[in-house]
Amino acid sequence: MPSSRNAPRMVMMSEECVLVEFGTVIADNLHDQVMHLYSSLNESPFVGFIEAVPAYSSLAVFFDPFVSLKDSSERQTLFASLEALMKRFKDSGDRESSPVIKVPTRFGGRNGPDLRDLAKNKGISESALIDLFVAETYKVYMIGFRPGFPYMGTVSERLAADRLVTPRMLVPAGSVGIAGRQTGIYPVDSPGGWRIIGNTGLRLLDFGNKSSPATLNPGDLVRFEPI
Amino acid sequence: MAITIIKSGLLDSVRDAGRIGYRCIGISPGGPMDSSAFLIANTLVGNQPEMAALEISFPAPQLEFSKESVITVCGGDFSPEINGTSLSMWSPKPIHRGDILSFKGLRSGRFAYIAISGGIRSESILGSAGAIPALPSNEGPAARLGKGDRLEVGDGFTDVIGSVSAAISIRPHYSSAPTLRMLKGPEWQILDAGSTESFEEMDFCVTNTSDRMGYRLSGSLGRASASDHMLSSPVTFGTVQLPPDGNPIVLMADHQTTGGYPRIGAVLMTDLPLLAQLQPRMKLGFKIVDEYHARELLEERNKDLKMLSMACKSVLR
Repeated sequence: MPSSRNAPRMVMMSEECVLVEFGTVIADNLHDQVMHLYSSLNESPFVGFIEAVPAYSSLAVFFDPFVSLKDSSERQTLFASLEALMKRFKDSGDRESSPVIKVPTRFGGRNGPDLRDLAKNKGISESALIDLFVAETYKVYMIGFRPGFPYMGTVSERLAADRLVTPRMLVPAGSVGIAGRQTGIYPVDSPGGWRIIGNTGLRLLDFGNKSSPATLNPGDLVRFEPI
Repeated sequence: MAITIIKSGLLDSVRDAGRIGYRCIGISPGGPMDSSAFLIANTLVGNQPEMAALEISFPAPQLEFSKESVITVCGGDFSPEINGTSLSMWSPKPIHRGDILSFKGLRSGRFAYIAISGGIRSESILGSAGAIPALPSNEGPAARLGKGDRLEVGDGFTDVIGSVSAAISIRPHYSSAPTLRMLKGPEWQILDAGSTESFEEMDFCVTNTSDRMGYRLSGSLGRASASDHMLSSPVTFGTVQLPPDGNPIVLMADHQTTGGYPRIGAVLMTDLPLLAQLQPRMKLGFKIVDEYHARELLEERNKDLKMLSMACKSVLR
């Protein structure tokens, strides 16, 4: 069933960036539209296109203002070319499935300092919590906060957890956390407020790999595997 | 080797125009804080605008050159000297083997740019010589240079025949209390009626929590609705975010690529240098402009740089 769609909102977010907003909630249908425009731009960029940044339900499109727009009145032409790409989106439901990336993870103990409290709080055992968590296939909706940090969903409603009231000064690289119904992996040591339930040894960044420095990219599918 | 850091400063780093193409994996460009001073500096020494130069803060470093070249210092005024003699900023100056560049004292500003003809040649990671923002110090290219570090310089000009400088009219119009021109942002309507009406009359103040990632301002903006949860969405250099406490944050060169605070505006690319150079406790205001005006200002800056480039080409040898 094709769902009803409103025309996305387009707003100039700087002299070299337009924000395309498909909606303001987390929904697969919206993210599919984001990813469709994202891949369309990468496959058939308009003149002066620089890069696009996907998020849950919006996409930022960066361009060279002196190449893409001969003068400021050409903004409408740019918007029109984005609209033309968006029109090609078909909400077929049977979307092309990305390969699933496996993330080996050690849960609990020193690797997951918040696992015990979270399980207690939810009234389930630690192993039941892990089972619920790894049963899901997660989608990388966007990367943000730190280089390579994937925002993934959707965590079972039974495991939804608020962020820590006081963020930790140091969350070690590899930490797997839950915030609301999102899950994420800290690619590098950093401060952070997500509830940490485990740690993966998987390297999320490789700066030597110029064409694909991040292990997880927007649109990827992820499964956690307990080790 | 052509430049040796004899004494390190507070925060000296190599900066080029930035790292492009990796925002989608959370890596923002991380270019210079004051793009106008950076671009003028490269232009004055005959470089391509995007070439690598040094960005320094105060306390400033002391540098020794071991190659004939042409340098310039633009941006914040830290009283530059060559071998103890005052150096005119915003104009190219030939330097010789053994010359020492030092800085006598902070007059104004926060970031200065030292460009050298031929550009600094340092290791490029993911297409840029600049540090990757938001990484711990043990990852990626060094975010700051230290004493004893040596930098390679490409081949360039070695002499200046005649005189040239960036006219005051084309330099950023620095002020200790600037009015920053701003585009309305995607969530401008989050402001309550009072804040919307008096926005341009309000004073904001730069706080101590201001660095290459963002400048936190103190202000007292009211939000129309208190319980608005916003989904994380892209942000960029210049985005003005409004956290629940009403004190806006302007995202700077090392910003995160996405954020969850309402975006009430975007400081114009041509006015970001004025903000970048403000010290904590300095005041500022905003003025709303439309994107047509923003575009004109950007075109003007581009035209000025092209004119300057032609003027420099005729005197650099």
